[in-house]
Amino acid sequence: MRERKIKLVLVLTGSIFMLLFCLAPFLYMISASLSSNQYFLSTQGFFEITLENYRAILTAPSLHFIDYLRNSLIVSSATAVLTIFVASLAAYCVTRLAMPGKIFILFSVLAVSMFPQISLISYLFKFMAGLGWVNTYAALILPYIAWTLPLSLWILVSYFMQIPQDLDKAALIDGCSRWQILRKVIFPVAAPGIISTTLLAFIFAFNEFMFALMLTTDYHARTIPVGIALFQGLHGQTPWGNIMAASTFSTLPLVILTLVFQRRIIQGLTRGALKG
Amino acid sequence: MSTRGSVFAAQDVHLETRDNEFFVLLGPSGCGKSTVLNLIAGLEKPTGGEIWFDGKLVASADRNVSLNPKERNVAMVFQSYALYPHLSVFDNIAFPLRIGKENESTIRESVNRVASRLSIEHLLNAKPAELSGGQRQRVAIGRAIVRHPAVFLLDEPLSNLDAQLRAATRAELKSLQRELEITTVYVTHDQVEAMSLGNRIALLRDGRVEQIGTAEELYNRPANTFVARFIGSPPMNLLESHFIIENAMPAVVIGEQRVESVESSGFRPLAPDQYILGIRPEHIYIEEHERAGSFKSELLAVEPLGREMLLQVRIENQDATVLTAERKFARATAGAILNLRFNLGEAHLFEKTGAQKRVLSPSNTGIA
Repeated sequence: MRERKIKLVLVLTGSIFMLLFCLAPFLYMISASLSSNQYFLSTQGFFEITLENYRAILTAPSLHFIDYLRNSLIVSSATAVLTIFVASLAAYCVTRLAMPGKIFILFSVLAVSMFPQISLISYLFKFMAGLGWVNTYAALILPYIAWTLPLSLWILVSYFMQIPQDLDKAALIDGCSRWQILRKVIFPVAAPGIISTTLLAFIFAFNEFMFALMLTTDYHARTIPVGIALFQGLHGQTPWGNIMAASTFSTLPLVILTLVFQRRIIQGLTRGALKG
Repeated sequence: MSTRGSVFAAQDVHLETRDNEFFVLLGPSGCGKSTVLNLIAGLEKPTGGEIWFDGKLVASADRNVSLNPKERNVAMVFQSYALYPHLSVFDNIAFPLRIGKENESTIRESVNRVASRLSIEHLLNAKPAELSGGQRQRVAIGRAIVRHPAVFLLDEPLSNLDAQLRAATRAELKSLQRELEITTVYVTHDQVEAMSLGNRIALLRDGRVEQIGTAEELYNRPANTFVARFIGSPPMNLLESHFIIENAMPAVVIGEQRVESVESSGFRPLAPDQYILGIRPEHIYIEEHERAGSFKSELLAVEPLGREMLLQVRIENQDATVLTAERKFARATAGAILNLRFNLGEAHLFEKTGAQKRVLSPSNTGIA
């Protein structure tokens, strides 16, 4: 009995600590975003709840927050969709088709993703400048695809490997073409994996900072992380309230996406394909 | 016929099925029977040889022809059932029709017809995960027979069912096949399944055909010792023996003991040599007393099988089994000496060397 109690206390303490550790910055961010005090970091003045910061970022045209948000959503969605399209075709090939050097392909893809971003950035900038693509969506989407593809491919390969090969054979016998197998069998069965991988690619692209910083110059293509980071230089002072409101606001798409797809992600759809 | 890696999974396999025949490919695991099935289905390409459906060439390595499964119009039931987990039972059965772009009312009609034939109407809205093994099996069969395939292929469809269900499904499959009148190729490693289902059986080993024939032919006239051991349960005894002619009388000698039997006169055309004597456990009788022509053997163990008992015995340092229905042996102790008599009229002789081919057996010697 005593032992159980001690165990419970330890588990609870551990969990609370973990929660606080992870969520404290968020709480701080949210409370700062709701504060009317421009000098939130100073100890003077009262804490007064206001939505002024949110109104400012959503309406003030000089901040371009809405532009940043739109850019981010477009770039991240395009990246996620294209990445998953390519990655799932590749994963299907790697797991299903007799192809020489499969492992070599998988590992070289992994090796490519090991380059630090910073080592690529100068050449990438020259390349995009040469194409005249700096400050366009394409300048971000293409490197993002290259950057998220290895991880997506590896995750999808592991998902596709769990799908029994007999399903492909059954679909072939039932008259499917390879393309139909992918569309009618593999995709639906691997849906949880595909959705969570899409989400992951989206989050990666949404949060990416360095490429976006180097390859964009203004609100036409600049994404949220860079946009928010550059809020500060704008008027000489650091608008903490605006920054925090913008940060809070920009986590919303991720939270909403995760909540919407939560059930699909958790669902184990492969159950029951084979004998129980 | 096909290479897997650099290993030939099946070669020199020449099979011809007859119209509406229930043809069984039998063999131990790894003998290439599933490869042959995949080749017929079009899931694998042959590296040599040809496959014909009626008058239609569906695969040929030399002529570089390989129709895909769709063009061959084959249906297949897998050992794992391979149901689509994201689709309901109805949609699973309807799947091949939908791919074939049938109209929706035809699909509904066909699926309902098949479902009622297999008594799974009440399951049409369930997902495969909610079904028992036997029910999944039925759905898999339903998906295969819902269209009218040219060939019906079954890859060990019963091995995941428990023994009772297996026997019931076996009987049902047989009547279903007779009713549908579709040429069927059935792969199994279970000789009981093969014997009870197949019009004809091809026994494979290491990618080669050992014998093709009806269950009766394989049982009564095994082509070699492999077939002899594989078909029938408990398996046939194979005993090393000498065939001699003494005083113009033929006799079979095992170790130091001799079978003197007038019945063995049928062996006369054989040259005296070493042979392997094949005799089924039910064709060895136990004599009360030692007499001419009986064999002494030592009892090793008794296995009760219910109606009968299987006695493990040792004859001249060779192990053998004897099947008996006499209850008194249930309490016999190991080490007891039994007097055995062989019914040589039911025995087979195999060459001692080479392929161990059958050289004589009752049906072609007339010594029964």
